[in-house]
Formats: sequence, structure tokens, C-alpha cells
Amino acid sequence: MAALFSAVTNWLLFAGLVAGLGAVAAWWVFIPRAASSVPEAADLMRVSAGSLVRLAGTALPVALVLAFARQLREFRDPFAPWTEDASLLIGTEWGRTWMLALAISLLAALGSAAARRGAGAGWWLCGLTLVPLAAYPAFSGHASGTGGLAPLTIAGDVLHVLAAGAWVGGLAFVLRAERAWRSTGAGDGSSLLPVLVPVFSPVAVVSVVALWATGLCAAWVHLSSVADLVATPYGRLLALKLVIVAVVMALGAVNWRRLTPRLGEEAGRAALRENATRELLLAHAVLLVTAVLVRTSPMGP
Amino acid sequence: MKTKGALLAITLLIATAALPIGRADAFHFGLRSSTPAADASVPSPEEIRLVFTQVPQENSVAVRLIDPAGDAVQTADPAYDAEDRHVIHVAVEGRLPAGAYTVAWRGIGDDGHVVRGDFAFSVTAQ
Repeated sequence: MAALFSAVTNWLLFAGLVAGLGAVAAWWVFIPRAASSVPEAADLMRVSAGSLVRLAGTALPVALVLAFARQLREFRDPFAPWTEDASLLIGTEWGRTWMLALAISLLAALGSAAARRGAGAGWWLCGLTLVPLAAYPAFSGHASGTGGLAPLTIAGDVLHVLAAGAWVGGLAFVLRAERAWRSTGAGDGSSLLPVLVPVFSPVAVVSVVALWATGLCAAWVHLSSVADLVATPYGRLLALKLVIVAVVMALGAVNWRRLTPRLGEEAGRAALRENATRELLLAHAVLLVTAVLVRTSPMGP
Repeated sequence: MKTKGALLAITLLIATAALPIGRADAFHFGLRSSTPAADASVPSPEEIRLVFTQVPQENSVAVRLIDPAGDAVQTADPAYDAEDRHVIHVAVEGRLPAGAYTVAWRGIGDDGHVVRGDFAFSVTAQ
């Protein structure tokens, strides 16, 4: 039960981060470019990005409160009152990092509420809070525990989260905007995919390269040997993550190389919608495995 | 072109797999040694000293000395050693009666994970 609670807490945190970062990428990168081709869809795309960032603004503070509850449960001294333990925990480096993250997440929530209503200032606040929040997993996890390598592993972890946000969150935005466009009937059977996919794909490709580079770096630091991939719980989880990531990437490659050239026909668009939905669901499976991985000691039990 | 790309990818994979990795054990927070040592039989100790693999985060260490009846023995608060912050010591107040004792400890390492453990030792009659 505790393991499930821990996994759900971290998944919520990661899902909130990628949703928020994807929405921010959509607001500043995808929408301006796509709207120049279909100005009549600009408002709808902004609303889609706004609803995505609102999800993030809600999920992140909740995830952080749950993370504190989990940490306090693990921190409990049965011979001391829990209030004393809570006070001690807040005084640790972990506690100070957590408090800072919680404060930033509350600002992100405020920003997301304003962004949802279309306020430009809200989007600025979201950008200025969500990007620093991408560093929270690094400063509260394995990346911080690598001694002299910490600057490298922390930078790698932050880049990993930002890249995941641009890819998975960006994909969520593309599917959300497409669904909203089709449900309005405004496009009369048309699709936003022919304009959104070409602006999203280059960002996704760069993100995948960054994810692999930073992921390999982290694996090199945290594994004692390649044999750990089958010998330790951490290694086995990492191997599982790599397998699912490979499937997600294969789906992404099919979308990019095979289905994007067929966006001019409805059958191609339908196939891409279906395949991209699978890609997004599996990407969340990767986030779930990562949620367990980051709480697993690389040294084993 | 595709063959070249595949060859490059395979070469990179092999090169990565061959890298001399082996740092994970250096980054693990845990107990390296203690005084009294685990399973030792000693006269009543004046303090418990725990040596950790990393400097524990401030305020994170709790050390409980538990007597044979399962009750916590009165001790001072844990404190860092003045010369080596990997070492935490806890002064034991008074003389311990003979018997089997357990030291239960908890701390947070650099990676923010709570780690806990315990070990036993015996106090001999004097």
C-alpha cells in the first residue's frame, strides 16, 4: 500500500510537470507557429493549452503535499510525537527544498488559473515557475546524492525533465487541441494535425535525443555494472523503463516518418491520432515506472 | 546512410556498455560502522557512535537506544562529531544494566531518501 501511494505521488508530480511544461511549450512555440497557418484555431489552441496548464497547476501542489506525507511517514520516530518529527523534517535540506518547491507550485497554480482565463501574465508566471520546478526531482532525488558528480547529474536530470515535458506534454497538447477542434465542428471534418505536427515534431526529436543522452548519463552514474540491469531491483526497473521507452519511440518514429507524410488524407490523420494516443498512454507508463525508480536505491535493498 | 546510422548507434551502445561504471556503491547513504559494534558484548557504553557513508542531512538523524524490555533509554540528542561530520554520537545518560540492547537509527542522505536500520549489542555485567 505504501509503495502504491509512493508511486502514485511521484507519478502525479511527473505528470503535472510534463503537462505544465508541455503547455508552456505550446503557448510559446507551437501555437504562434501553427496560428499563422490557421488563425481561426488560435483561440481554441490557447484554450487547450490553458486547460492543460490548469491540470498541472492543480496536480503539482497536491503531489508535493502527498510527497511530504510520504516522507514524514518514512521519517517517523515511534518514540517521538509526529509534530516533532514534522518540525525536524522541515529543518532538513530535503524539507527546505520541499518548502521552496511547494511555494513555487502554489505560484504556478495561481499562474495557471490566470492562464486558463487567457491572461498573458498568467503564462509568464507559469513559465517562470514550472521551469524551476523541473529541478525539484533532481534536488530531492538520486541526482543530488552523487558526490562530486552532483553538478553533472543534477543538470542532466533537469534537462531530462524539461525534455520529457516538451515531448510528452507537447504531445498531450497536440491531441487535446485536435480533439477540441474536431468536437467544435468548426473545421468541418478538417484537422489541426497538418499544422501542429510539423511544429511539434522537431521539438520532439530534439527532446528524444536529450532524453537518451541524459538517461544514459544517469544510468552510467547509478549502475555499478551493466549486469545490474538484471541483478538489482533498480536495474530491473531501469531495464523495464528502457523497454517501454523503446516502444514509445518506435510509435513516435512511425508517427514522424510514416504517418506525417499522410496527413493530407483522413485515413492518415485517423491513424496518427490513434498511434499518438497510444504513444501518450505508454509515455505515462514510463512516468509510472520512473515514479518507482526514483524511490528505489541503486544499491538494492 | 541508414546502415551508417545503425552502425553508429550500435557502436555507441557497445561503447556505453563497456564504460567502466561502478560508482553506485559510493553514493549510498547508510551505516558504515558503529561503537559499540553490531553484536558486540561491551561494558555499559558512555555513548553510541555511528559512522555513516555520507554526511547525514542536518536534523535528520534520530538514534534510539532500546532496552531489553523494549523501552527507549534516556539519551542526549544526536550530535555531529566536531572533526568528522560523517560521525554522529549520542551520549548515554547513566549506567546501563546488563542485557541485550538495540540501537535503531534513521537519517537522510544527500539524495533525500530516508534510510533506517538497527543493530543489537549486549551490555555485560560489571
